[in-house]
Amino acid sequence: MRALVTPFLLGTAAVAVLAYAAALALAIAAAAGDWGALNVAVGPVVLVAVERSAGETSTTFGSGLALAALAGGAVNAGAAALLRGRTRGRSDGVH
Amino acid sequence: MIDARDRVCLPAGVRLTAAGLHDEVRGETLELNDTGRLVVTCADGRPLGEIAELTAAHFRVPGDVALADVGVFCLALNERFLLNVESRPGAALLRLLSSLARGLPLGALPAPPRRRARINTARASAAVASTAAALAWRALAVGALATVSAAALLAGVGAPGLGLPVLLGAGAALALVVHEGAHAAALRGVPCCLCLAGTAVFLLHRRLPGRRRGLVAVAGPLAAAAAGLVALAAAAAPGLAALGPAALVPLSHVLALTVAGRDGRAACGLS
Repeated sequence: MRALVTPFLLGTAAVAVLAYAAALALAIAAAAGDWGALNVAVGPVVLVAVERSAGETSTTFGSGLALAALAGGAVNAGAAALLRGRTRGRSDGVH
Repeated sequence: MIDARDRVCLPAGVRLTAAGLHDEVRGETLELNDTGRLVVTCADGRPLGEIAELTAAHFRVPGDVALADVGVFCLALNERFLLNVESRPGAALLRLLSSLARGLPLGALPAPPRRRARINTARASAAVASTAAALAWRALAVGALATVSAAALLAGVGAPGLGLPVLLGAGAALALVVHEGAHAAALRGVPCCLCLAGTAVFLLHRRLPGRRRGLVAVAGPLAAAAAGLVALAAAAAPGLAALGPAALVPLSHVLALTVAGRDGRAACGLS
């Protein structure tokens, strides 16, 4: 069980951090560059939406980011399961 | 890619003992025959050609045979990070370009000599400082390459300028140092060395117990991502918006936590 949970959590965390950070960077760029309204979505699933009105900018992180993170975790867990069968122990460590 | 004028020496942490060539980082000893022992004894910064001449005289073999054998032996030690090779300034680059021109049509890419540098893990601060010192040139090269690539890409999409490319390059260089520095800090008290093998950079150390191994593995990507988050927070301040895209470079290191990266595989117990 742990063999699947660890890669799932790491994959979810990795994709979540990157997805939310990318959305935030996009929102900052949109606000700084006077882009106007911005809506990034995949079909009905919103990733990030930026609205501007009277000098104020509001950013909405859509549910798509959380879904992307969960999907990243699932893919990572699946890949880990595939790799596990082929892995041999090493006598040293590299990072 | 070693020639007779290259100088060879044992890296810090590798020494010749009565039993053979001992690697303090791996905790292993490589047994040597008489020829290997003579070559390693002479590997004190002398040119490979001089060592081959000594070997030829000692074992009474033709000079060209000795040079070929000593070259192959030194290359094998270098591939295991047990011997450093110092090329003349510019010679390594010329050889790399020449090998690239000859090998590329055959699909063979040249492998430049590997390099190993000592990391002081007595204290976390010393580990970070020695990693930064060992990585300085590599980080500079990564930063310059990222800057040039970003400048060309942005100019291609009609957004010329050097401000953002320089920030992206600085982000790439800093992220590399922070990433490896954090690994080294997490390895406090464990003998380790920084290895440069072509484009790859990694810290080599003995196998650690499960939990510690996981902590060391995640320390690098998390530290780089944390540096990216700090830069992203700063980007929200007026006039610093250009830091936003640059922050994504160190933040992208968090992907090393997945099994696509060496760190992620180590954290998941897959390597």
